[in-house]
Amino acid sequence: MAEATTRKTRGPVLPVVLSANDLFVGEVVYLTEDGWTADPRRALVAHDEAAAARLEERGVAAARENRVVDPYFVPVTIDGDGVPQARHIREAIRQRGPTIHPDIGKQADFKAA
Amino acid sequence: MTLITWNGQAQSQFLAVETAEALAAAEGPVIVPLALARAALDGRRNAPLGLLVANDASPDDIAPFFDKVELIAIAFPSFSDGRGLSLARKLRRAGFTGRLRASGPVIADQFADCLACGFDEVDLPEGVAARQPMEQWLKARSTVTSHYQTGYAHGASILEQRRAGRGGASS
Amino acid sequence: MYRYDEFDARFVRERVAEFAGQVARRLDGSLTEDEFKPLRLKNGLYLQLHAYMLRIAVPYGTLSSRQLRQLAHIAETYDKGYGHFTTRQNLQFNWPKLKDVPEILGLLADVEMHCIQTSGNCIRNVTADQFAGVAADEVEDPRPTAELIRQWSSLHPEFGWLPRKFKVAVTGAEHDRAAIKVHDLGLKLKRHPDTGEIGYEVVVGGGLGRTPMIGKVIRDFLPRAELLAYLEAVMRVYNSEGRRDNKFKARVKILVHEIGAEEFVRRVEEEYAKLDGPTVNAPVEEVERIAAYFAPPAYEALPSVSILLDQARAAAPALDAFVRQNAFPHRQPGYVALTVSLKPVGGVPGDMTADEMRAFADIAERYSFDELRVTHAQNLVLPHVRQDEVPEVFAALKAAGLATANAGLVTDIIACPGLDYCALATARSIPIAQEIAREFSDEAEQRDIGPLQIKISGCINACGHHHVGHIGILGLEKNGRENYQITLGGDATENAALGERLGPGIDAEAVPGAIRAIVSTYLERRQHGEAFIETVRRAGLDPFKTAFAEVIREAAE
Repeated sequence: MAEATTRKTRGPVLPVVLSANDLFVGEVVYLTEDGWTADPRRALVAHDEAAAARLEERGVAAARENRVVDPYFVPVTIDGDGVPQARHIREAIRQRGPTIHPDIGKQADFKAA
Repeated sequence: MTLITWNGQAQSQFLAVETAEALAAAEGPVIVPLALARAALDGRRNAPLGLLVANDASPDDIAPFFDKVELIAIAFPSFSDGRGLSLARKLRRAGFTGRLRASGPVIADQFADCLACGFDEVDLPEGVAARQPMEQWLKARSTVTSHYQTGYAHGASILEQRRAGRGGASS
Repeated sequence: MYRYDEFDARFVRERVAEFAGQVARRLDGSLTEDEFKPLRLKNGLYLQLHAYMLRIAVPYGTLSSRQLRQLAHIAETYDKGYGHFTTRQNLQFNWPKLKDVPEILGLLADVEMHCIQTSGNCIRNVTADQFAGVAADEVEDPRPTAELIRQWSSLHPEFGWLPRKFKVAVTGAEHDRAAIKVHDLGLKLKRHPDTGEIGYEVVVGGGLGRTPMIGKVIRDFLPRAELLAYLEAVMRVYNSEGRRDNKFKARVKILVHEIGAEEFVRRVEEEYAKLDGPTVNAPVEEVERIAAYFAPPAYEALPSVSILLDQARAAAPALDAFVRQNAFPHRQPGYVALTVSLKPVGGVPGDMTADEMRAFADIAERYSFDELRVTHAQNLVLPHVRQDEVPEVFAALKAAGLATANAGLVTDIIACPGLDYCALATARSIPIAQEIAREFSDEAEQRDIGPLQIKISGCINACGHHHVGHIGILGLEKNGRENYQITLGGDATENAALGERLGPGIDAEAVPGAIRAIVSTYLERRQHGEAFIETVRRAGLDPFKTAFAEVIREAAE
């Protein structure tokens, strides 16, 4: 299922976004061009290894600065609207919210306009 | 290394040596691993001696040295390994009255527990010491002022205080 | 119930201050995440899939109305309006912010509550029989013992950094509703066969998780007065000798298993002989002080049968069904304990909204001496209801949406939060529970099937206790998909047994059908009013395996 379309020998399955939790609040956040966002639609997508490495470097720095906790790559596909969608079910639930509570979480906070 | 004692930062006079050669070359007070204890004593050096013991060492192996060493340091390989706390209790119970040192990356939040279990001091690697200055240790020591457990070195337990309140202080 | 004295109150306030300081020191970098994590866990704070999660201790499952109202207030003010009762009688909030936690802890302290040691490698919140003080088969109320252990284990200076978590459960009854054999340490209050003196049978080394084991009796009879010293000996042996090289082998059950129960007993007794028991143990006045808080409430002298209730039941089938299913006999004539199910068909097992909490708090205050209990089956209990007032209570519960008459039935499913919330989960649990409940939503059918415990865990850590479910369901991941293994024959009571797998794992969509096939096999084979688990014990697994294999074969077509 989660087989890579672009598989490299090292590093994550591309494309990826970088996710973490905000330290002080706990909310799931994603790295963008200019900082972190709670909105998964705004996540910056890395399509190649160099871009992924830049994401990782910024994530590590943010963790060191006690801004976020546990930054890591989330492999995604890009849907028809250009929005990154997590490939793995765990990350898909994390990106949306509890499947049993469609009224709660990011799926409610960031409904497509 | 940074030494934290009950009332603040202190200077350790002990030099940690790990080999027989280093022991022969050392002049002042030294801390030696348990394996070198005999050699250090046989050398009859005229300086205080300390022992470094692993946290899974047997109290029976350490007890013969109780009245021959000034200090026993129990190694804490990581702050989350609590074996050293039980070993400290066992050494105190077996009669060791000298200085007891926790040696390793303990954190300030454990200071009160270390003292309660019988430690006198903590010897920290520089990383922890730099992040957690002495003031944090003193504050952590006194944030929770009384405890339920009786028989630990953290003052009268809550159970004992209740008993005193009932007027049954003597026992 | 227990009330804090000045010492308890100050202790909890100081613990709040300590945690507030730890949060501040995490933010300013004094504490790394690796250092902060065990500190926040020891205060019940996890970082879960979506957010932080705060687990609040409900010691031995006893709450007052005032406490439940405060929980409702916290749910609304700092969370998303609901909470989740767990299999260890605790309450979890799924969406708190770290910055708010010190304030939440302050609000908990206002009502004599805390989050101390609801997680982390320490002695956890102590659980007990939900019918403590109610059950007729009780030697003694287990809650004074549990409260003494709660105090003794709180911020223990020596046992805060154990190899792994350590869970304690206490029962005072013959029938074990506290699952003491699957805890790290279980205590059963008993009378000495010769002297009549009260003491404990001590069981160690049970547990579920990836290596499920039934605990071993390590002391047939421990005199009551010696409890804390003996516990200290057990904990010292475990702290010193439990494995620390592999977190999956670090529970005390592995130590007991590897060195053998006999050797474990020898080491505990050796340590026990060395320690200063009289100093460690609680003085008898302290034991009595605590016990006095659990004295029975001011019951009225009533006839043992309520004609009023009998007449009301005869006239109202829904009330009759509710009483038949959810009432538990009370030792006090004229009273009854009522299980209040948090398992409405289609709901989330164990979830309760703030509105429901308030409504329930009012009911408990008015009809049950201001007291309620949390069960390890994620339900609540009104422990002391006058039989005459049951019709009123039923009406009030119904109005609050809390009158589901399914206690102990096939739809009364235990489920961990699973992949919908949990960072460790490999599969979802709650939607599986919901689908099974829908499959068996017919109330008459549920009653016909009778007592049947389904327990679902969303990963191998077994928070949903699937090993000891009559039917256990374990959610795993297989090739990127959720996959569910079904076990049969587990039991958490004094007849503790671990379930056995029926066959290969199946997809989520196939689970309700598989449960249907298992239940049908039972209905075909049951004899003389046998309960599900009795038929499984008598008939063995084979007929169920055959039925299960048929489900798999059909699904493959």
